Amino acid sequence: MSTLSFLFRTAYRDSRKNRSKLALFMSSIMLGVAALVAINSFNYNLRKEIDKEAATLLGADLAASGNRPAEPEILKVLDSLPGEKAREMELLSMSYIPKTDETQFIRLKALEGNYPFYGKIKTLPLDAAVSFRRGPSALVDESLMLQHSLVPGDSIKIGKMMFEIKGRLSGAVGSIGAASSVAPAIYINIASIDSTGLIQSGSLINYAYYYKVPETFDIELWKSKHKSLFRSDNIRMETIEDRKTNLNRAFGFLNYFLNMVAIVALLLGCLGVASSVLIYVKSKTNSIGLLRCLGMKPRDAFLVYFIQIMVLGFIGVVGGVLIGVFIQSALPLVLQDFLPVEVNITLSPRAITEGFFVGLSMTTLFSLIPLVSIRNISPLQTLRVSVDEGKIKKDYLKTGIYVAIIIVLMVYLWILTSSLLLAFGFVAGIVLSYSILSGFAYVVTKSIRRFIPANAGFVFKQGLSNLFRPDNQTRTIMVTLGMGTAVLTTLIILQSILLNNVSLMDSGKQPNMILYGIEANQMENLKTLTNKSNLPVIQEVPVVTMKIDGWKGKTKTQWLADTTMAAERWAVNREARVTYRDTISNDELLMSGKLRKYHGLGDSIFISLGTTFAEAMDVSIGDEVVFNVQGTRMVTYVGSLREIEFRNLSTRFFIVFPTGVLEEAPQFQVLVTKTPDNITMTKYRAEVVKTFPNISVIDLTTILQSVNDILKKVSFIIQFMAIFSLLTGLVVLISSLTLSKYQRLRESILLRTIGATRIQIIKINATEYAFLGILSAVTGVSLALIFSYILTKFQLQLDFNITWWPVFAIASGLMMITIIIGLINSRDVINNPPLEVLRRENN
Amino acid sequence: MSAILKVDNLHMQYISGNRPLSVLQDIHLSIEEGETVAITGPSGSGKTTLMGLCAALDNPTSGEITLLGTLINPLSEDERALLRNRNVGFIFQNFQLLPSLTALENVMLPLELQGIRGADHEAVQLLERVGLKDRLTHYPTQLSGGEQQRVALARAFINKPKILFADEPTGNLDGDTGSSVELLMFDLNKDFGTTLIIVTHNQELASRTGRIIKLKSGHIVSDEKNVPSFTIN
Repeated sequence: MSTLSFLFRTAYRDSRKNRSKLALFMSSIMLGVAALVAINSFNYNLRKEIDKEAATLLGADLAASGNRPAEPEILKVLDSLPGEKAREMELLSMSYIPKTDETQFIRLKALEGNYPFYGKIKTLPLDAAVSFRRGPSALVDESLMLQHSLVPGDSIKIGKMMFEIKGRLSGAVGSIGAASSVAPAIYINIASIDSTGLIQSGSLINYAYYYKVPETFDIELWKSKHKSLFRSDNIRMETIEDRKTNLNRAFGFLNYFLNMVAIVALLLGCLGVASSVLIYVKSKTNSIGLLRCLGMKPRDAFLVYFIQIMVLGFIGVVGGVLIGVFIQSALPLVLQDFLPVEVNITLSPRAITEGFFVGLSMTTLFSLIPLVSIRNISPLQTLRVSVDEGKIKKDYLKTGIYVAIIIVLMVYLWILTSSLLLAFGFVAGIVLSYSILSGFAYVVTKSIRRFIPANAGFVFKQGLSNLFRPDNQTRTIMVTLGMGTAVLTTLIILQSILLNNVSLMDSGKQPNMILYGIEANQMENLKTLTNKSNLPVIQEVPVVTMKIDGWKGKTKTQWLADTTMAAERWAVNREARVTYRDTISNDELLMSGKLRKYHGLGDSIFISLGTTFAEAMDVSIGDEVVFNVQGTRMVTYVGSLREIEFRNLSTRFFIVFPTGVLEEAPQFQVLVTKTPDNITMTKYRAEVVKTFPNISVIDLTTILQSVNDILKKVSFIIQFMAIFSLLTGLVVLISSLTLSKYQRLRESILLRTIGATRIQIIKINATEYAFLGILSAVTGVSLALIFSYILTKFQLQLDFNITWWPVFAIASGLMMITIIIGLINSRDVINNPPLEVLRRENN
Repeated sequence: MSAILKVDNLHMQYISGNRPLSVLQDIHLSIEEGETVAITGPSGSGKTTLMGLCAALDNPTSGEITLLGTLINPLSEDERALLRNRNVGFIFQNFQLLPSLTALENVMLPLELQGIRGADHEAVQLLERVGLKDRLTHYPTQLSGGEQQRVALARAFINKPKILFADEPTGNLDGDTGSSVELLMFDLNKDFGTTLIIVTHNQELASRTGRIIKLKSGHIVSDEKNVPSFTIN
């Protein structure tokens, strides 16, 4: 073996005049690694902040909450905890701003005690966080104050009570941007809540009890000891540890999505690496043949080029890491609104280390695919330009490299997602896509060869024949272009699906205002007011609240103690809001059974359940379900199952009773209407709030607007991610097409030599590249449609409702770019004398 | 004198379009140390294939080749590479210089492959000898065809080869340049005492060797001694 210093020296000398040829290689690595580092740095920073901030986000060591006040015996156990305690009631309500004579839907939080125990409510002025707790005072969300030009000292009416605004609320405990944009928060003292008149039957209130325990007290142990006590009651216990887990789970999808985008960007970069190294090796075949002829061993010849690629690869990876660190600072700017914590931009050693090692190992492995072929380059290359390489038998080393790539990818994905199944699924998806693209390319080349039109003109036939002639790169190009297109199109399709699903909800025919918490004696007056405002009463729905007491012959307590229980806890523990009617609404579809009327005392009560709820309850037609209707036990049977369309904006109920059963039960009413414009809406809402302070008015247009705003931001994130894929995809495109340049160059020169005109060469090349572009686009887009359909239906559970023009734009854009790059590659042959081109390429 | 190259019952066959194509058949020859030999013949007669086989660049379908007393058929690729590097020199029709190496570096390459350091002194001397003292740091693209072939000559002799294979060494050069390169090649060959095997169409070049082997359709049709004649155009 030659000495290492000689190999390094030769590698250096050999690369001297060719480094520009490796520009594509470098940019592929840099983009791929930059994406990986940037996205993962952000992810790890987010996780770190969530862990760090979990205590502040919860504000206490233990939070117990539910939509009813805790039962006295539960409260007794909770209050036995050592340390401090606090209480909170939270409800959605309307508020009235006298200064502007406007109303506003708000999230009211009534506090008692020194909550939060960890972190603090950020206010301006600072002392407002304390002073609002005295008397009828309020802290008002910053955005609401700005919207209505409110200043401390102004008033706001909540329910029947007028509150003095003590300060501006700039950061609440656990407040998430997206949630506060739907309903801005207002904090008041709990002592004032009764005087608002908002606490009535039908009010949707969340009750929370907060506890701070001494540091020596093991709250987790206490919680697990009392688990059985809380299990049967509709109360949720959360500790700091739970909050950490929940937050990480809540942002799991974002994490997963970001991880996948990063990996895909890296993989696209790796495809660019493999193509550009292949181009490089091809351009060096002659030199390698000569080195071999002069006595260099195959392994040493391989090492000379391996050293070159590794040195540049190392520089590329380091460059990519640096770019990634720089780019990560942009991500919090984009995502900050959705996050419960402020993500400090710090260097993430884990992301940098991972980016470096994963980037380097993937670069090495993908480079090795073309590099190992160097071992097979014959010294005879020096005597004959075209040595039959077809004689080379199957290279097992190459197979080993493919296996190594899959293993590295799988292990890394496993580390990232902590799920072997996810890692396997993703790698299987990649391998499947590769096989589909590769198989399709094979079928296409065979078909073209077979069905090429005999009477087509020379230029067309020549262009088409290039797709299947010896040394064609059709398969390589179709796989790389197809992969890039598939990733990019999937991102764009998902974005359009998210937006389309929201805009469907916002269509003109939908109601846009829901009034709830209406007491029976208020209904007639409210309807009169509504009619006077020239608004329709689209729906008038009675609502009765009840709890589930048992099902399928066992009580809830018995079921909860039964380890074989298949019902889901959210379904059995919820306070059910039920309506009664004997008909199916427009948003529903009867799936099985029928809505059976109640014929009076002695008759069985047949209820109708939503299919999702029935599944969660593990009940079907004929099963018994027992309810506790505010103290009265009521035995019912499942009579029918309905599919409920949740996309439409109206009231919908999982549980529907027949008429004649619940009419006398304590209940409240809901009224649904549609206002034609904002002015009518504001006027109507103001009148309702003034006349009936306890009624909550939900303006769906505002909510939809907020959801739209959020989705626009989500779209922006997707676009931001798509840029990575686009850039790496473009590099892959250029390197793939440059590959074909070397195949076509000599042929084009020969054609030029024997008299082909410029326009003929252009047409031949344009035909070939146009077909490559079309075929790659078709396969890539088809794959994207399959991926996004699976994701939409099974992951996002949305309608597969696509805006087609971006898909067509990508497909035609790809075709155009392919033709343009193809023609740019041929410009040398078109514009210069054949021999000059040959001389240049040989050097 | 002993045989530096011995070829026995050599056959070479390629598969072309699923059919075997016989390129060389039943070749027997023996070349003594210090001989100058020209292998001539029309295109497709198998000249270059024979040279490739003799220089251990390829494997025959059957038959034996003994180069410098070593039977090369069973040698591994690495062993052949070592044999070439230590004992064989090459000159090609299209020069085959590495484009990214300077003239000096191209010449040093065979010695550096042997792990010899400080080969530049010998390389400079050889480049001086071929008249390229002022072109040491030039890249191949900055040299004329004749100059490139002279660099190739210097490279071919730097490892003091026992046998030199030249494939149409003047095929890419004009008459005058070709003649001066020929002269230089024979001079160097004489100085280094190398066995020279030239593959050529050029009868005039062939006539300057001591033995002419004619090939036709893969067979040796004549193998005759020759009295070298030199005329400078």
